[in-house]
Amino acid sequence: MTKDNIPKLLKDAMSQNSYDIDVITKYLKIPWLKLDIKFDTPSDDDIKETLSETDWRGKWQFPDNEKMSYQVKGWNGNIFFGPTDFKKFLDISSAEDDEHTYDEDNKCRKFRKILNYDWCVDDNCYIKKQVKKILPNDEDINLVNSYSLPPGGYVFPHRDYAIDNMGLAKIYVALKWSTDNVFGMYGCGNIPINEGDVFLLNNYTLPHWVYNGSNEDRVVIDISANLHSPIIKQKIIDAFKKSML
Amino acid sequence: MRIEIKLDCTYKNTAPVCQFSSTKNIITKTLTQKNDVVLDFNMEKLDTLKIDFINKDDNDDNVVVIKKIIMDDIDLQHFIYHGSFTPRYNPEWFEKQDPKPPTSYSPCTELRHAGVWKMDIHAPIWEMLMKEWLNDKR
Repeated sequence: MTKDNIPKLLKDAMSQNSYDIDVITKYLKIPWLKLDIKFDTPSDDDIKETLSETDWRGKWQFPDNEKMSYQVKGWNGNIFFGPTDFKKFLDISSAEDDEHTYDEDNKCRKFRKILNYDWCVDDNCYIKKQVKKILPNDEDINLVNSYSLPPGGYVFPHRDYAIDNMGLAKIYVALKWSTDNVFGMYGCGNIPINEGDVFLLNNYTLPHWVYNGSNEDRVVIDISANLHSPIIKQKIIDAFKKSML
Repeated sequence: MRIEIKLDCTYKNTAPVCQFSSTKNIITKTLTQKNDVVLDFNMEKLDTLKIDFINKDDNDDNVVVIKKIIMDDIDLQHFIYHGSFTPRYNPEWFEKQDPKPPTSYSPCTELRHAGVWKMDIHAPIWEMLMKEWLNDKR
């Protein structure tokens, strides 16, 4: 078959079409992709480090915190990488979004170029060492935090909202995830998460919910990052190709 | 289906009277200042819940405020703002208005005129809420 006499547009499209991270993550609205990434198995002390005594919703100044608290039970989090001056960050982000319409990932992404961001743990921290393996350049990171859920804990069905039409965005590491944990995504069943899995999640398109029906804490790491960073980008493309087979 | 409606009312002497209805059921209740109205309605798969404020007294200025609706043990949360209120304006008052007030209001949970507040209901309730989230254009 000859390609000599075909129109230039078609010729270019056929020869140059490749994988575009923005198409895969923003336009397709895929609910999740399982990434071929493995974190080292955490020790009990590593897990302890992910837990926090501070109330996450209070820290982020969720509006109507008390009134809406029936929608969450036991859900909490801890921050490892983010804005260094958290008060200033909250002041700026609240001025633009006092209803907390946008989730924590979005808020951090929005002010990444304006404010100073850094790790708030030392170099030996388990989370920092693991994240650096896939995101060696801190400039590519917006937020690293844990989310914990005790036995019987839950988060009601809800949707998160993105400032820039995001879809797949959240790198979600199931650090401690016993069976009987549920991450439901409306219309798509439950996300097939096993302990140690790393997923790229889209929490912006579909209502979703979590429930810990096990007897152990459930701990995940949530990473908001530049998806064009080299290692992550390749992992996404590989996962997409595999899922389309 | 069990339907629980929490309503606050303000009035001096004329306690608000509301008629609660769906396709197959209707019940009238005289309200007090704080109300927890519990209904057992036989709801169709596609139905409409209506609250008709029938005894607006302009001298008393009685008002009904819908605070919360729980259907099938599920709180409809902020989606009650998707309900709409169609007033039956006092003709004398209406004549004096310029510009004229709208035929209906949505969102509206404060019934300050006589009229019907209504919200379409799709069973099952959990799925109705999921579809509300799905179509939320915030």
